[in-house]
Amino acid sequence: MIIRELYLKSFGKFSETKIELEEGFHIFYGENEFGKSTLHAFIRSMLFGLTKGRGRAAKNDLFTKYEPWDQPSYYAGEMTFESGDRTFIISRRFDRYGKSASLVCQTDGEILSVEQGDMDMLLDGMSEAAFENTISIGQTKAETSADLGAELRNYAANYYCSGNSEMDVERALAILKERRKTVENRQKEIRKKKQEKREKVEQQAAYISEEIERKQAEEEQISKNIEQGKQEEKRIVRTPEEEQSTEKQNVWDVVKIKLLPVVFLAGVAGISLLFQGILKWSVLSGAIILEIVFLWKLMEAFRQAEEKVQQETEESREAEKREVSLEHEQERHREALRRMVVRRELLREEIAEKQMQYENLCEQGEELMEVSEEYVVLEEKGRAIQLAEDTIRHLSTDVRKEFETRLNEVSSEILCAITDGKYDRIFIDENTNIYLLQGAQKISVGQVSRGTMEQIYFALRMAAAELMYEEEFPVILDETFAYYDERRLENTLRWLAENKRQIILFTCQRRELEMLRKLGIPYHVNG
Amino acid sequence: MNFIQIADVHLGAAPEAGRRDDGQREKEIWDSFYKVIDICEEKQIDLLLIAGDLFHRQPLLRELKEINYHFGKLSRTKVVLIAGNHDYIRKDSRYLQIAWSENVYPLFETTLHRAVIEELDLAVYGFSYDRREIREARYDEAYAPRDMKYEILLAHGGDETHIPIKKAKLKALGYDYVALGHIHKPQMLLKDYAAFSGSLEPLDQNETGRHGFLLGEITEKGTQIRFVPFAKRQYIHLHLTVDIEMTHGALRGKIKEEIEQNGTAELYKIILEGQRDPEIVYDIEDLDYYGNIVEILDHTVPAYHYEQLYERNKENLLGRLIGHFMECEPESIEYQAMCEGVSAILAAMEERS
Repeated sequence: MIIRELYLKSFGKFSETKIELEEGFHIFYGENEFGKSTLHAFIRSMLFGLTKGRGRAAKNDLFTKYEPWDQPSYYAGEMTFESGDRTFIISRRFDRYGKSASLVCQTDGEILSVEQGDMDMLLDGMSEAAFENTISIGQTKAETSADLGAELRNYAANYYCSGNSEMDVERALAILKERRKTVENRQKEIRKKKQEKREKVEQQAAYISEEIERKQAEEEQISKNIEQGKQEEKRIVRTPEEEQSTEKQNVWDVVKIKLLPVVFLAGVAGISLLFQGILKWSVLSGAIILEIVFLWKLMEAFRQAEEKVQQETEESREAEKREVSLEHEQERHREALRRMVVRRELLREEIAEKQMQYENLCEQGEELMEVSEEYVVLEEKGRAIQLAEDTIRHLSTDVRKEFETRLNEVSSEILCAITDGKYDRIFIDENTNIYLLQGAQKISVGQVSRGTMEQIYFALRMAAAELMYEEEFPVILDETFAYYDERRLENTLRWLAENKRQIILFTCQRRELEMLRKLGIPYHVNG
Repeated sequence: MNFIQIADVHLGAAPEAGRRDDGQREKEIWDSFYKVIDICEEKQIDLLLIAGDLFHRQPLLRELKEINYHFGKLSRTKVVLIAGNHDYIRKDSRYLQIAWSENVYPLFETTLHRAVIEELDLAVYGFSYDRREIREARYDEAYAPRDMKYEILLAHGGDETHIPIKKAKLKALGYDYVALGHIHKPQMLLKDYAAFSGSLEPLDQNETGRHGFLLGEITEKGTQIRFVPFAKRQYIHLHLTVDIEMTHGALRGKIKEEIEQNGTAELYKIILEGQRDPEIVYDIEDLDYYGNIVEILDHTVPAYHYEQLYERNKENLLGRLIGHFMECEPESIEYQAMCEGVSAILAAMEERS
């Protein structure tokens, strides 16, 4: 690209001012207040447009700065430039009500559209920020090597936002992440449905488990009752029989005992009567009294025995009655026992059935754990997306590193040229520390002079411009060489003359002019 | 003598049946089974053979009581059954605790034995599973003794872990017919000699095709078998190939159409393939109009001309990405990764311009 003409219709302090530019060195020389920065800003505004900032920023922004003093409502300009083989005119108006931009190809009359990005295309995708970082060179604001290193990193980042690849890596990664989320959500849906089914089954299983426990508790209770009942049964059966047998014995014993002395007495009386014979009457009466006593005793004994027997018959009848009622009780008891046993059997069957059911439910639950084909396919897709993300990150780091290396190389070349071979190489280590190689010696950038720093700055920018864009742009230098000594200035100007088609220099010194003259390099001057 | 052979009914199973299903599929399987019994009665079939896996899990006592009741009502049909690897006979198996009806001849022992049915001049040979797997080829030496007029082998097996079966060996056994169960897809193993009736109702979304029972007739002249489709529902696989024009709406409509054509009562598995417009994403959740889709597999990839893209972008990230994965198998994860990455990068570019 070559800028041919600047037409400041109404910009800053300029009104209806046309300036023609040539190839090669074009110097705007003048003291401060001349308008150098206005012109610089104009070029920039024509390339990229000019918008008013908002709020507090508006007070000091460029828009306000260059708002025409006389007619703020008419804020416009035009610029003619060459790109490729064609000449274009871009026309812009910046004031609020007339804001517009138009782009026309003077060579073939084609009308292009700034809105649709035709200007961007001609600029090879260079953004305003990139412009500031490459071809528009002021003085370095980088004080330390860390800053320079950061700038270098910036270039690499810009490489993606402007320059050759319009690839927004971050956005692509974000898109992939979104997709991964979608896949994961669908997987979650599937899992949730499975989970719901599983929970239903588990609930059923839990319910049945409870029922089993309840029935088992019941069974235990019944078993206990049955045991108790059995014990009861034994006790009831034993007692009545024992009582009866003991009673039966007693009746005859009583009779026997009572009879014995009576028999003995009778025996004695009888024998003594025999042996006494014609005994006295007293003895006979005595014997009769004895006999009467004997008989009376006998009768008494029998009476007692009868009584006893009666008593005992009564008692045995009672005992029989008791026995009958006990038997009934036993029967009832046995009946109850039988029923309990039957109930327990039933419970056992129910428990077994429920346990089988429970097992079946557990099996069903396990079957539900199996993974469906769809889930597997989704799983694969998720992994593929992850792989894409990782690969892109990895590759973009590669690309970045490569770019950095190239940047390094090219800036080294330029630096070498403009320092006349004093420094062969710039390089940056992992911690963004910049070193210079002087022959075999490694010098940290913190150790070099301001002037050298400026040159590194210059070299970096030129290298970046070269690497990022196909198009060659004019170089715009704004008081760039203030800190350069003679030697440096000479080398740099020579390098510019040899390598760049159009160099626009804004300066308030005569040094550059004189140096160019001395070197025999042609130039044009406005001022 | 005529007979009906069923197997692998899997009573108690609840197969996947889509969003619409609310446990009916499980009931449908029971209904199908009872309908077969009804047919036995209707057509006065002589013999009902059940070649294993009547139940999906250990049968419950009340379930067996029910089917025993139904068996008992048959006025003519004799029923012979064995247990398979799913409802295998455990020590506490309820199969052993039922007082089977007179016309039921269970073969629940675990070694080859037989049931003799005098009225039919028939002996049915077989045995039941006592565990989940049997790896020995237990039917290889199960020769028919040939002391009855008709002899049938009722068997359950046919894969590596469930009694492997060789056709030649089976042929040599000398039965009038071999009724096979275990393989869920109905198939004639040896023409009119040995056949799998297949599961009565399909039990899994990959069990496509018709399901039902085998109707057979054995006479002195030989055996003839016929498959009778009977299942209430089928699982159908729909393969749809998309192209760049197929939007989500169009796809949804196409699927709806295909389902209507094939039957809205059936159950579906959809497989999507082909190259779709890179900007279009199919919302899988939204494609199930009738609620009878069991599974959707999305194998579509965005339509890009990868070689072209590669040529034009060799130096930059896009080109490198393609170059990295270009050689990979189209079905592989790597290839998919490339598709995803390319579409994401291009989508990001679209956004910026």
